[in-house]
This record gives sequence, C-alpha cells and structure tokens, in this order.
Amino acid sequence: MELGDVKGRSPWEDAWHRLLKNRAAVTSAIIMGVMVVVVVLGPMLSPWEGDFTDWDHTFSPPSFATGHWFGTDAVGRDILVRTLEGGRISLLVGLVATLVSLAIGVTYGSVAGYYGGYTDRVMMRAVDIVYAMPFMFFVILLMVVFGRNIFLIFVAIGAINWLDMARIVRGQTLSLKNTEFVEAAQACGVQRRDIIVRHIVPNLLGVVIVYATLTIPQVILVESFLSFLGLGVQEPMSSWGALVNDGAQDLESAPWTLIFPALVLTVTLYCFNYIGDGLRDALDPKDRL
Amino acid sequence: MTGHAGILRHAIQRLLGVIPTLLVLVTIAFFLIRVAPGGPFDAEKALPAEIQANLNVKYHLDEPLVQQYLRYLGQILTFDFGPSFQYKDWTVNELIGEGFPVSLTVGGLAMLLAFVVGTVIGVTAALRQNTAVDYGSMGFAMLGISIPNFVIAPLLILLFAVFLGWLPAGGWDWSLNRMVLPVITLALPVIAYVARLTRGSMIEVLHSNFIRTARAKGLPERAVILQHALKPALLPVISFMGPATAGLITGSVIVERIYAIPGLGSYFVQGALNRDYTLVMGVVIFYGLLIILLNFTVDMLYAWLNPKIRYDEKR
Amino acid sequence: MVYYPYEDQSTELKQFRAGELHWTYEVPNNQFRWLQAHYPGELVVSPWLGSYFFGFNLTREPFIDSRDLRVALVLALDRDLLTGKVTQFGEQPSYTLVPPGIGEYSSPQPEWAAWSQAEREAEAQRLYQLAGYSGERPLRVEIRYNTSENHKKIALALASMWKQVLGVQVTLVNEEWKVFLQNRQQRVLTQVFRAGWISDYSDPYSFLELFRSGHGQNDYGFSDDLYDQLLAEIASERIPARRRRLMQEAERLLLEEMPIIPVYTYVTKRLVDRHVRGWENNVMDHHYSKHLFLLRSADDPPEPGKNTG
Repeated sequence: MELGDVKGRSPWEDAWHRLLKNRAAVTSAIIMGVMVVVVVLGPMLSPWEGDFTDWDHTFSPPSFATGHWFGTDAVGRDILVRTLEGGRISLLVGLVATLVSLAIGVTYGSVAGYYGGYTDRVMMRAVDIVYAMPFMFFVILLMVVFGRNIFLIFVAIGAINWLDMARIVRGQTLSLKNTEFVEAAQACGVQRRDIIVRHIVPNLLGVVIVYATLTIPQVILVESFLSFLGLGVQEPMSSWGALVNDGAQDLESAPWTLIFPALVLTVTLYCFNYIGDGLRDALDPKDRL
Repeated sequence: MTGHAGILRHAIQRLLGVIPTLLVLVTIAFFLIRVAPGGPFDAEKALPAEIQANLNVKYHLDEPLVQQYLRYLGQILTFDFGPSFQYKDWTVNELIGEGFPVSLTVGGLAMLLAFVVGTVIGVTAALRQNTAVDYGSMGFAMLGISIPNFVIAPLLILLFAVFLGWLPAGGWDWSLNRMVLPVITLALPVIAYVARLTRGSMIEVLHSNFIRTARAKGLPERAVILQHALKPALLPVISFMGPATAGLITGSVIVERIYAIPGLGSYFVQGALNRDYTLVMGVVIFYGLLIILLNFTVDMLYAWLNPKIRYDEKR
Repeated sequence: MVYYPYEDQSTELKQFRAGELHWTYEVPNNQFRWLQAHYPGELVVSPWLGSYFFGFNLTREPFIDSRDLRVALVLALDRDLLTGKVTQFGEQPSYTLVPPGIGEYSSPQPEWAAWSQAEREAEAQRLYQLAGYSGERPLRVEIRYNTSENHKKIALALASMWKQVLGVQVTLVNEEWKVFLQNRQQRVLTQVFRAGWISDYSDPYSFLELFRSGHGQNDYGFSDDLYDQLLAEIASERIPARRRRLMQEAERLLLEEMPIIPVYTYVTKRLVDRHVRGWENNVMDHHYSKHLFLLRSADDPPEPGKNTG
C-alpha cells in the first residue's frame, strides 16, 4: 500500500465543501455580496443626493416618472438613496461593533482559558458579574450621557457582545487542551507548535467566525432599536433602523417609506443568519444551536 | 464529591456572587446618570435660583457626589429607592409596584407562549427533518428573528385592531384581549429562537444511542419522543431562559411604548430622559436583581435536570 | 371622563380609530392628506396662540453683530413651501414674533412680508454677500433641535433651503430635551437652535418679555437698553391702546435686530369624535370638561359606559 499518495483534505476544505452544498447559505452570501456592492456604489450612481429635498415631490409614491423609484419621504428626499446610505451605516455598525466585541472577547476568553486556574476563575467571575446587568439600559444611559455619536454606538454595542464571545472562546480553548485528537497528536509526537496551528487555532477560528457572523445581525438590530427610541445616528445620516422608525409612523399614508427599508433590513438579517447557520453546520457539524 | 453537595456549594457561591454584581451595577448606573448633562429639575422655564437650591438641599443633590453615593448605598440596603423626581408624590418603590406587575404579566405570558409554541414547532421540524415542513417552519422561525418587533407591532395593530376590529389597538386595563397583541409581538422572536434550539437539540438526541436502544426495544415512536427524547432535548432551551428574559425586558421597552402599556420599561426610558435619578437607579437595580435571580434559577434547574453536569474546578 | 397618557401619536391615532378615544390631543405630523381623506368630519385644525421659530445665539460667532447675515438667513426660508409641503396642517407662515389672535393687537409686519419669495431670496443673497460669505467661502453653521419628528423635518427643510438658496453648509444636531435645554441656556455651543413659545395667557407681553436682558429664557443673548425700557413701560401702562402701541414698538425693534427666524403660527390638530358636542375651538386650546357632552346619535349610537379621553 502506498500511503504517500493518499491526500488528506484539511478540515477547512471539508468545511468549504459542506458550505457550498448549503444552498440557503450560498444564496444568502450572494445576496449579501450584491447588497454590499449596491450599498457602497449605489449612492454615487444615483441622480439624487441623500440630503436633497425635492419640494415638488414630498411624500410621493414610488414612480419612474418622478425619478424616485422608491418614492420620497416627508421632506422630499429620495427613499432609494436614503436606504442605500442608511445601509452603509447599518452594515458599518454591524461590522465594526462585531469586530470590537471580537477583539475584546477573543483576547479575554483565550487569556482566561490559556492561563486557567485562579486567573481564569477571577476573570470569569468578572464576566458573570457584568453578564447580569440589564445591558440595554446601560446602552440607553450611555447614549443619553454622551449624545448621539456613531463611534459610541460601535463601542457601546460591541461592549455588549464581547461577553458571549469571551465565554465561548474560553470554553473552546479549555476543552481543546484536553481533546482526544490533541492528546493523540501529542502521543504521536507532533510538535506543540503544529498542534496549536493545525488543531487548536482552526477549531477556535471556526467558532469565532460562526459567532461573528451571527453577531452582525444582532448588532444591526440593536442599532435599529436605539434608532427607534430616537437615540441613533444624527441626521442627515441615517440607518435602516432610523428609516424603519420614520416609516412606521406613516405606515398607512406612505407605506413605501416603511416597506423598502424594512424589506432590505429584514433580508439582510435573514441572510446573515442563514450564512451564520451554514458556517456553523459546515465548520462544526455536530453543534447545532 | 457527590453531585448534590457540588450543586449546593455552587449555589452558595453564586448567591455570594450576587453582592459584587449588584455593587458594580449600582456604581456604574449611579455615576453614569449623574454625569449626564442636565438635572431633574431643569425645565424650559428655569426655576428661581433659591427654589433650585432648596430642592437640591432637600434631595441632597448639593452634597459631594461620593457622599451622595454612600448615602444611596445605605438607603438601598433597606430596599428604599427613595422618591421619584419626576412623578410627584410617588416613591420609586410605588412606581415599580405599579409598573412591574404589568410588565411581568405581558413578559410572563409571552415567555409561556414562546416556549409552548417554539417547542412544538421545533420538535415537529426535527421529526420531519429536511422535508418541506422542516424548511417551512425554520424559514418562518428565521423570519421571527429577522423582523424587528417595531415593524411587526404596527402591522399587527393595523390588521387586527384597525382593519378587522377584533382587538383593541393598545392601552391597558388588565383584560385579556388587550394583552393578546403585545404578548404575541414580544413572543415572536423568542418563539423563533426556541424553535431553532429545540430542533437542533432534538435532532442530536434522536441520533443518540439511547434513543436507538429505545426504538430497538420496540417502543412506540410517540413514547420514544415524549418519554425519552423530549427531556434531554429541552435542556438547551432551559438554559436559554436567562438570555431570553433579558431580551424580553429589552423588547418590553418598545412593545410598551407602541401599545401604550404602563409597564416598567417605559418608566425607565422616560426616567433616563427626565434625569429622574432615583427612578432610573431603582429600575436598573430591580431588573439587575431579577436577571441575576433568573440566571440562578435556570442554572439550578439545569443542574438538577442534567445529572451529567458537575460543578467543580473545571467550570 | 378619562384622560390617557400617550407617548406616541401613532398609538393615539390607532386608539381613536379603534373607537377607544373620543378625542385625541394630537395627530401624527405627516398624515394631513391621509387624515383629510379618511376623517374629514373628525379632523379639527385650529389656530393656536403659539409661534414656531428658531433662535440665533447672539453671543457667539458667526452671529455677533451680524444683522445682515441673520436677515439673509431669515429671508432664505421659504415659509409657504415649508407650511404647504412639510407641515401641511394649515400652519400660517409667520414673519413676526407674536402670533395673530390676541385681542386687538396686530404685529408690525416687516417690509419683506409682502414680497415674493424670489425677491426675498435675491435680497437674502445680496445680504449674504454683504456679510462676507460666498460660494467659495460658505457659512458653516449648526442647527440644534430637540428630538421630535416635527422639529427634525423643519430643521431638515431649513438646512436644505439655506443650502439651495445661499450655499450654507449646515450640520444638524439633534439632542434630547434636557441636553438641549442646558446647551441653549449656557449659550456656549449653540448657533441656531429651535425655539418657539406657546403662551400661557393671551397677551403679546408673554412673548416679548422672553427677550429682556437677563430674562431666564433669553437664550438668544439679546440685550437692548431701549427694548428693556419699553418692556418696563409696557408693564406699568394701564391704557390698553397705548400699551398696544408700546408693544408694537418693542416688536418692531426686535424684528429690526432679528434674533429669531420666525417660521409659522402653531395650530392645534386633533381628531374629535362626531358624537362629542360642546367643543369650541379657541387660540388658548382650553376645553372645559364641563362643556363637553356625548350625543347619542341616531346613525351610530355610542356604546354605553365608554370613556372619553
């Protein structure tokens, strides 16, 4: 038997193949890709500027004749451009706040898991303490104290989510140290560095990627929640949450002001959730939420 | 160490942990709300300086912040949250006493609904894995997670209150028909999460050895599901109860606002905007305590239901 | 009679439509056309004793000693467009501080009140240049307003008109009420800010006194010896006709200096059930419960035991 010719597939390749078989996730990823491109480039191609008020067409329904394909709002601003520009903010908040929570969570969790013992216990007790706080209240308080500021939104929302991330990463690090395949690798005399690179990191990374993907829609939701309470970004900047909030006020008299932003927001959340699910199934087929 | 002693020790540890948690909670909230610009007595028509000064003395707002903080700590040891600054003649305890039963009713019913409906959907989907039923119900569940409740609520009101006229549009008088729409709105995302959780863990349980054994013994499928599979499958759902409650509290802020329900969530937002220091602090502490107690209960329930868990050094 | 508190106008409207209220305090700001189409018999709009305006902070650049700039900004606002397209409820465009409807008092109208908007804009551009601003060197200014759907729309419209007519670069700053109040009173951060006054009593003095030097609500930093002197005279004058003339003189002086941007006169806008009788519109918006009663109408008998609110 020629062992040398058998090519082992790395766990990543396996995962990739599993992911590609997941039609919902692939479709979602394509939709999101298109969405990102449209949101980034769309406003530049539009004949309207986001803050341009078309006084001849205030609250006008969607129409090709007026040039406002998605209609206009109460002061005659083009809903399509507003939705795209709002998308920039929403996606940016989703991305940056997720990165913030990732950075804090992964560092904290891996340090706790790696050092273990007393350090671990103290650090995790601290997480327990913070975990029990009514967090949304603190975000509301923060927004009240420091005013509406997009960077604060990033940090405030990121600061909510790092706790879960820290717990997951710590647990994963801890359990990976004692898994059979790591022990097996150790028994086979595989070098420590290789164990970390080939076994621990990929396994950690999988969880992190999955969790991050699922955090993005949560963050977008939190931001829209803040916008709904009137604590979101500053005009003329907008976000999907802010647009949905505006639209919900005029649900009947001007349904287009709600429908388009709400649809785009829902589709985005839907897609991110499906991508996250798909990634989880692909990277960690045993663990389904 | 035996399992029961482990649980007991863990319980005591957790209970002791409540104290620092509350202390951190109180401290952050106290200083955060004081840092906010504007005070509780600021209004468009500014009060005369003398009256302002008298008010400050009366409510000890003239003292150094640290002294106020220590005074407040001493005060809450007796569970006295003090008078509200905004609602005249009301103490914060009274306001919580008014608002919390309302929030609790809506939240509790939503939780109940979510767990019953969510579990049924989840189990059904798991039993028909990879069929149209599965995809359909999971797609629906995903929708529940993806549509914000401030979009769903106006749509529900329009449909059921305005067009069909079956239910009131909002308001509160403790009658059941006023509770229907808020409870559904609040429950929808939780239903979705519970359904997904149940489906996932049910599939896993159904593939496990002891279920195969039960089936091999020739037990009817119904008995296999209800007597053997359901209990372990619900474990993750139970541990989800903690975060779910926190989510409900957040959601209640919006739902109470849209449906004009006089619950605690709306008191909090108004309190924060009005710089009603004592009310904000009272609600934060109260909800913090509630979340802690719930997490604790869930933890204990989980340990009790799942004999595999051992609370020792490894946790 | 039961009064219910609402935070949300939409909720209030939905309650009314579901037949649970007999009259609303307000209606949502954006829905005039819709309400008029669907509730023509119930929609009640009536002038209110209040002025909606913006204030300039005269103690801070760019508005120290800059009458030309202030007048340019005041003229560049197209009030007919704003009330017609944005607020929509029949608010009356206003060029003065004191709203109409107070006894025999009539505000002194500035010259440009009678101009066409094109003339106003031409004059605005001239004054803007005169004040030293141009396309290359535009004015950069902040408009502050407190959180509200209506204030947001009006601030957006104002910013857009300034940009379209003069090329002013506006930053909108939305603050919640307490922060907004504090900033207004401190006069350190504010430049242009939302203001307005709904009077507690039917007298122009209630509006005029806001601009007295050192007055608690003089967030404009307006200070004029002659004006203060006139206010003192008004306070002690007993003969109504002379008192009116003094007040007109004071308002003329104020509009000359232009510490505000008059926008419109408030209206009360609400839905009143057709069964409610004894309802009288008035500028003070006072409605005594004792005068109101419910009609058991033939076409649509009200349910017994229903509450009004």
